[in-house]
Amino acid sequence: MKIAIADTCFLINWLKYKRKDDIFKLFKLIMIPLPVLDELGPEGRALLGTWVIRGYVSFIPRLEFYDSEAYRIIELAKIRNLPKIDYPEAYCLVIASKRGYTVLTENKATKYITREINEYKHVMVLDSLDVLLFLYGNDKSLLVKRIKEYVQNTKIIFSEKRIRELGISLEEC
Amino acid sequence: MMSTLKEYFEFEKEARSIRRKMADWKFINDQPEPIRTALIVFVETGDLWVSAKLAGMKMEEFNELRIKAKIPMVI
Repeated sequence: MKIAIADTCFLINWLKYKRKDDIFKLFKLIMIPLPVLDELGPEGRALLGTWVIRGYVSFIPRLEFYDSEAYRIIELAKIRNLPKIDYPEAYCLVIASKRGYTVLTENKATKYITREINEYKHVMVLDSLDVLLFLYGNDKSLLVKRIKEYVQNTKIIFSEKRIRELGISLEEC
Repeated sequence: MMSTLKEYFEFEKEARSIRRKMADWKFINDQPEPIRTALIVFVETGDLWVSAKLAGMKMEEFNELRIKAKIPMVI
């Protein structure tokens, strides 16, 4: 099983999901950089605590090397007119690249950065819809049910185009 | 799965339109500065980190605020 690294926008949504523990069917450990932890409020930290107790998460300190590489990616994206990537996602991307982790982020720009910058092409980037697909994609009616639950729990909206591309409709069930 | 930059920017356009349409503009305009501007930045960009920084909040705190403002996070 793989190790993932999560950024804040992924965590604040996923931690609200009532089946949040299912993610550990895909990953044995989720790494959380301290700058990401700093962005969580009381609710997120309390929910994260349940994962800490069970040994599901580990924290990564803020390191100067990762910081400067993250800023290089942000700058490069700007210079090359790529989608805008912010510091938390860039920091996760750098660590993932060096350590072989999967990045968990809701920020779409991160996926594009990995396609456009050669030294990051090997990094796998997943958002919550990708994770739901990996977890429940073998059974389309179950997938629809789980996506609906996720949307209800987190108040996010998935792109209609992406849902169509999965060959499902959220009107089902 | 999106595959091209063109598709990415089309997705961003669609997402911005959804955020603009669904936002509770009365709630947003009733907020004090810099919260009001930060919420508008989120509507226009979908960038939670930058918006939270502008508001002077943690991302999770700002996320709760954008839910109250009925601004969807489109993924």
